[in-house]
Amino acid sequence: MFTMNKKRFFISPLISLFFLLIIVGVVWAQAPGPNRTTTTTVWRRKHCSYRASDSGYFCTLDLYYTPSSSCPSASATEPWFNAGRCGWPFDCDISAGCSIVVTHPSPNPPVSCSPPSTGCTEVTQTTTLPEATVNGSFTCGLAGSNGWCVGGAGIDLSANEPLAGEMITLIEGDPGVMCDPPNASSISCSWSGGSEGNYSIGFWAMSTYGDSSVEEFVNWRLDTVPPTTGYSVSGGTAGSGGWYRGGPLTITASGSDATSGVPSGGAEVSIGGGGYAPTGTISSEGWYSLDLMATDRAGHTSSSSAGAGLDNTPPVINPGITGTAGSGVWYTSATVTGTESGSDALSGIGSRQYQIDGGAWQSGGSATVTGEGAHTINWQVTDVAGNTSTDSQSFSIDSVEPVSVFVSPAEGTTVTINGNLNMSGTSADATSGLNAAQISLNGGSSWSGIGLAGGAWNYSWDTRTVPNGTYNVLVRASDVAGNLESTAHITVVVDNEGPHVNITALWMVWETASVSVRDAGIGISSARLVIDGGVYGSQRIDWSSGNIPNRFTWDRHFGSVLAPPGEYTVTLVAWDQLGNSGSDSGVVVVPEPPTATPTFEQTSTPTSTAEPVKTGSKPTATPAEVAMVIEPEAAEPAEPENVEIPLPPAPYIWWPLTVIVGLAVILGITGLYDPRPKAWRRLGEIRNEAFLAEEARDKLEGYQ
Amino acid sequence: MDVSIGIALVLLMATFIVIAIYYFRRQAVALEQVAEIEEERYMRQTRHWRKQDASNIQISDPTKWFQKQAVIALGMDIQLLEADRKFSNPSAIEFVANAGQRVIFSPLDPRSIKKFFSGNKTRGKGAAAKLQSMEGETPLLGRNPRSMEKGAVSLRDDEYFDLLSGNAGEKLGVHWGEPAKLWVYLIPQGLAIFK
Repeated sequence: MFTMNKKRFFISPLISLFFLLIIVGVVWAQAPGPNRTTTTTVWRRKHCSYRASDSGYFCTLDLYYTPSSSCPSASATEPWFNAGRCGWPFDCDISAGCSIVVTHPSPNPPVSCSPPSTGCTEVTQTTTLPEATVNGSFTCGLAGSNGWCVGGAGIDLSANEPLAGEMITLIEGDPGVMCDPPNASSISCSWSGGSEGNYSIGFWAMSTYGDSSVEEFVNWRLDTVPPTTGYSVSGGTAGSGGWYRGGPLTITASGSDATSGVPSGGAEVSIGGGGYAPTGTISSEGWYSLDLMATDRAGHTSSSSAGAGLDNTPPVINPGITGTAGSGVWYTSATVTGTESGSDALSGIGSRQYQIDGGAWQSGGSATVTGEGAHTINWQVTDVAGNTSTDSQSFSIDSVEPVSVFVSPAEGTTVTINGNLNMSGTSADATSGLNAAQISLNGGSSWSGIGLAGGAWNYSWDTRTVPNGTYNVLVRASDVAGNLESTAHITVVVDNEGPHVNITALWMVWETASVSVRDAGIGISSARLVIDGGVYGSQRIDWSSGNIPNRFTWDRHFGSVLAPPGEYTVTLVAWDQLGNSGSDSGVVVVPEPPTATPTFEQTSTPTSTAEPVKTGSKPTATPAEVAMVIEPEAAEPAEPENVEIPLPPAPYIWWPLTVIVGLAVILGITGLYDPRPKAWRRLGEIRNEAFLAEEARDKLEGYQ
Repeated sequence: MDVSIGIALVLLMATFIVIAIYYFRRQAVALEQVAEIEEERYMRQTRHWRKQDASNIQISDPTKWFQKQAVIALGMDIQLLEADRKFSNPSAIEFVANAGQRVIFSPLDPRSIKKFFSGNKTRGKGAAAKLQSMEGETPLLGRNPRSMEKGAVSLRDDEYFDLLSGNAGEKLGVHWGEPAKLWVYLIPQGLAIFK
């Protein structure tokens, strides 16, 4: 809210008016003018005097009148000179020889009187004293043309005070105080504070009398500022940066000067270095230098340079597309950038604009387009002169890969199979549509096409054509745009081979047969070992997975029957979990009883062979009576020979002491006879002495 | 066995000591030479700086001057009585002191004097013989040079030393030029041999 104090409301206009009057007084300085006429009041009367003479008698007559009266003529005073006056015995008779003459001066000014004497009248008297005078003349240090001064302008001023005791104090003028030298009866000075222009400056001298001289005038004519140059172009359409299109262009030079002005024809232009003329023409394409020159009335000349160009050739437009190109018009990158790199040989490119899919025009030479589907970029390139070229680009974006999935077996699952594997699935692509589908049975190392029917596919694989193992089966599809998906996959474990079975080919009944059952595929399910005893029957042993031994020792029995000497076929069969089987066979020998008694000796020499070391003595009983099981034994190291090793001698405790003492003796003796410290000291003393002396000399030389 | 080891150790230590002392001496000699070079430089600078403005230096009592130098060099109060012998090759002057000692001034340092005499004397007469002068078979530095005391006085002690020494030598009839350094040898009384 605005509130105003009433007092302030009243005072503010007065203060404003006061300052306004001061300002007006300063700006409108005027000469006070001479004021030396004085009016005084005095008493005056007219004094008329006459003298009469007749016959030796003389008489004078003084008559007093008011100052404005006139003195009577001499003859008119005849009655005043009668008998009795001045002792005259007779009247003055002019006709009888009495003569009367006027004795007051002629003219006869009034004389001072004191009232109330006769005729004394109060009179107003006016006195005019000599005035102060001032003179001035315009001076120019650097004369121009047409009476203009172009530099060093000034006014030489002088003033004089004719009255004794009075002095000139300063010379004042329209601009204010023009000079203020020490007070003197006669002064002279110069003033150079005038501004640009052609005008009359009035000035006057101020006097201690309290008045001034009559105002004098001098003409001031100063122009120190050169004119400005310019030009105008007609006949074409303006672009920017001085370029035009159309034409031909007419260049008209112009100049302006605020003070003296530029006369007609005073501005000229030179086009492309040609001759100067008030106007010029550009009719051919290109850029031209414009040299402008203008001369004002005062004689100042200015020049400047500019340029103008004519370009009627539209720019060359050169659109391009940056993105991952697919097939045909398709791009597979999510972002496609349209670029425009056109050029203009004359005025250069002024602006590049693009419009994406009919949207708003935007500035720039790079248009980024996103979104699946078809797109259009319209380009518009304008050169500096305003010529325009247009072009457009059409393309489609499909950045999304097709999607394929296994339906059977289910996507991502692992299946274990032998024989044929029937696979089916689907592929789809939303934007450009499916192009083809491929399957790889070896994890992507090689691919083969598979038929597509409405996005569905199927494939039958006979796994018996490949070795057992785990296979990554991949399916991928490509779309019309060229995207290739990252594949659908399942894992197929093929197991068409039975387990690898191995048993010792031939072994004695007291030996242990080596049994090996392994499956490269899904894993062992079970194994069976059958010893065929012919008429003695057979012995069958079944093992489940995980319980299959790697050694087998036969107890020589077919059930409860002890096997007689002979050779028996042993068949080992194993099955994997898919029913694939493998087998191997060996022979176990039950020898005839020996006829000689062997002698076994234990040796202390360990053997590194895998043959068993028999311990104990061979039983003399027949094999039919004693079943002997011979287990292979690991070779045992021979016991070390019991050698007495002498203990190392106790450390000789005097050695360290001896070494320390020896070092001390060496250091002591060599230190005692070491002459180096003395030599060091002497060198140090000399160097120190030399340093001190040098320092002292430097100081002494510094003093000198 | 242990005795042999002990002897071997002692011999080893002795070898170490001998080698160390030998190399220490070599290093000390090198340092001495560096010190001499430094001293030469220092004296050269002194001679250059003092501005040869002492051409009128004259010594009226050279014996007194030599006595003063002896006191400075040897660091002891000694009274020189008279100049006894003067030698020209090598340049030296011998004074007799109040206690019967001999004080010898020479521009040559002990090593140079030793080298000088060893090159002029017959070998095999002992170290004292090698230091004998050529004149009258009187040992210049006594029969036992190890017992003598020595010192030096040079431009380090007086910036006009070379002019003073030259003038003092001339006054006593020894023409040794203007040596910048004089060695002072004090031969004890018992070792002195008078003529």
